[in-house]
Amino acid sequence: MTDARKSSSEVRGALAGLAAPVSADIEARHVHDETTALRGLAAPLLAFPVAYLVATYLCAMGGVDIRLPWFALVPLTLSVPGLRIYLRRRAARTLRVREVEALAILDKELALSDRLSAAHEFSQEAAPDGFMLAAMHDADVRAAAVRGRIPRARLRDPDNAAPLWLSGVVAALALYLSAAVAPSTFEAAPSPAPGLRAEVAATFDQDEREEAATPAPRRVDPERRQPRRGEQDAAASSAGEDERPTQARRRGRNPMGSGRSAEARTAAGGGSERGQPSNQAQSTKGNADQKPEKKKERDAREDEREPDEAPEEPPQESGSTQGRGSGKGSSKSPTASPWSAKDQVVTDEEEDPDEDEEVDDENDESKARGGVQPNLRQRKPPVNRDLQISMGSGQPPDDANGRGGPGGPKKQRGVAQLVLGVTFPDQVSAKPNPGISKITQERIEPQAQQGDRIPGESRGERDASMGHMTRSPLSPWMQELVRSYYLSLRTEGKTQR
Amino acid sequence: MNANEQAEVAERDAQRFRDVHDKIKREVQRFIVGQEPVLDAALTALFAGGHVMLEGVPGLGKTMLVKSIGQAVDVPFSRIQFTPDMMPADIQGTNVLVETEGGGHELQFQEGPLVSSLVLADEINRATPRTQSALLEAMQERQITVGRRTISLQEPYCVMATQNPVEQEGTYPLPEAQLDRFLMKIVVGYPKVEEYEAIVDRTTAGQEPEIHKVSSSQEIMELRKVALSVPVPQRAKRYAVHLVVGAQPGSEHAPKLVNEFVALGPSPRAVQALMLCSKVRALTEGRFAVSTDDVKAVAHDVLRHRVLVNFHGQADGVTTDRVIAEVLGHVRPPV
Repeated sequence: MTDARKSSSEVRGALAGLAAPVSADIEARHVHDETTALRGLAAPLLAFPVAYLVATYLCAMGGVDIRLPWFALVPLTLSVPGLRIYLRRRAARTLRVREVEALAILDKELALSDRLSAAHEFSQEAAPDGFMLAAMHDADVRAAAVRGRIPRARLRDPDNAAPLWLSGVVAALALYLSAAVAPSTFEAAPSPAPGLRAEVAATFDQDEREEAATPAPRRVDPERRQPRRGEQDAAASSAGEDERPTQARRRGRNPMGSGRSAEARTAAGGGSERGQPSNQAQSTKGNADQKPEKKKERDAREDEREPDEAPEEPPQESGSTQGRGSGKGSSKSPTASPWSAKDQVVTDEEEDPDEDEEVDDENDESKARGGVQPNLRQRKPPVNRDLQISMGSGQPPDDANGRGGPGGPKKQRGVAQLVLGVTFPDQVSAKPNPGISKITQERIEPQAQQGDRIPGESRGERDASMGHMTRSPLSPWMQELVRSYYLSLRTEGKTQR
Repeated sequence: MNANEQAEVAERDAQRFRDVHDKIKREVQRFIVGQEPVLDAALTALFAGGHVMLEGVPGLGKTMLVKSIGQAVDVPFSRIQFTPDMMPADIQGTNVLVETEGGGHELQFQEGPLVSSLVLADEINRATPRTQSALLEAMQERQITVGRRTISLQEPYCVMATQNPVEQEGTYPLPEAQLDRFLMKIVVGYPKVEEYEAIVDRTTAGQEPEIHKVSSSQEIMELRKVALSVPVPQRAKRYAVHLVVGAQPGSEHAPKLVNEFVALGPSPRAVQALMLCSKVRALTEGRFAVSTDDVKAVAHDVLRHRVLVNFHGQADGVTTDRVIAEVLGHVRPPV
């Protein structure tokens, strides 16, 4: 080792001197980034004007006017780049690069394998061992060697930096276009002329009178139906209606000038689409299969409603009026008369709220289950199928739902069903046993008992006479049969005895 | 001893370590062509005082490598070829009946091949778990127990086991708890194209190069102490801990791949192994302290057999090396 060894403090000072420019360099880089942040504001500056232009155009196509005054546009345009500048400044000013961080960066940049950062840590040890001292010396030598070639931060402009003035020009152009193009769109929207309005209103009134006079309106297939006179006019005017439905609702009056709101006409089956069957009119009360569809339709209507639209007041015309629908779109059935059509109209208010809530609950429940399980019937659990002997009260249990289980007098079976008018429950109303049975065990010591002695005596010969045995007399033909049988055996000599 | 003298002693020890390491490496490389990372890892385990598992297909020179190291280092060397019918007594030793001078007989303990310093356990996964346990007791406790006799094994004691990744029929794969006792698991790959000619020249020319003994067991033990005295900076220590924790599913440093496909992460023993191997590598690289580069360099060999990929990972072809590479890419060295 030719180099003079330095103490820990000297090494620490040398490393600090090495880390200081790196720290300053990194901090300067952040300051530079902060400075050049203005150059990178091209995109944020364009963000709001372009978005505003696109939104204005799209809303204008939909009939919505979202144009803002100039005193609101300018601050909004500058707010996005301003917010970015603020955030970058705050991040840059709070950055402080410590010595060990700077040395770690140097280690990585110069491929020193953590020599400098390790030596910095060892230099703070109170009693470094030999390897720590050797590591510090090694780091000092390496630091002296690399002191002249510390990489400086290459301060360069952001890659995405576009000329700021160009962005300003584009932003101003976007704002101008949003202000200039959108009004032309609004002005180009055809609004029905007063003469045309009067003609359409007269046509509608005439159609209403005609349908009121017709007892049984025809059921017309909406797809095959050809537009009639007056409908073409209404369809022509509907283009103007569709462009500004929100405006019409906001004003609370019909652009047709007939005094009915747009919702009222829509609920009545569509003013311009006369003869098309109304979905509302077809939904009869008590038809359970159509309840979910009604719910879906209602949900769909609610979804179509604009979010900024406040809950509006009900249309001025009642449900019956809607059902009559001026005779248009209310051809519910071939036999529907104007009065019957009025009776068949089912409004939301007339629907049974309980049934509707059940349908809602079922739908929600089905959605909660992912819709993969079938709906439960009436959402009741299955009845208790306990097979114990009931008392036969004759009343169905509370949970009876007609799906089995004990439920009052059952259907008669067997002979009972043949007896007319006799209800014969096939269950016994009695106790299964006469009472409580009790089993007791008694601990009794076994006691010897003296049995009767049997005196030993001769029992006689086993092959002795059995005594008199009664014989049942055989019939003569049977005696003859037996006799002939034995006689035949003797003659053949095959008798065993 | 003042600071300068301490530093000079440390520098001399480090230089001596490097010299001996290089001498052994050069001597082994006279016979073994290529496979330098494998040789470095095996020598790292030898100097760190751990055991090595060498895994590779047949014919890559695993057995020859270990034999060469045993010849270059003047330590007792033994080789065990494991078979399914091998019993613990076959490797530990057993009492045999010998004839005495007076014409009598007595039982005398005859040591098995485990009683050595450098043990080559060839195809360790072919032995039954009973025999593997006998070997693993020697690896962990540095002693063997036969009956009522306990024999302490001579240091340096190093087991270099080999196993074949193919032909798993009839083998007994080592459980994770026993794999954890190996300091490193080294995957032996095929030689490079330019190394094949040298292999042919050296092995088919009729004269095998002779390997000289360039070190001794005493020197190995001294250099182990040198390796243990290498300091570890806080940064490298924290990085090793983060790596190990990052390979454990559910931890804050674990990447998505670990959380999805790792069933079992490395234990704290893995951090010890990382530090030991990093110390040896720092000395061989000419440094006096461990760096994060050392930790990163030995991470694959140290963590490979301590990570257990779950069923989904195996089905998707996720290997432990891929998991470790993901962890290395995810966990950054702390500042």
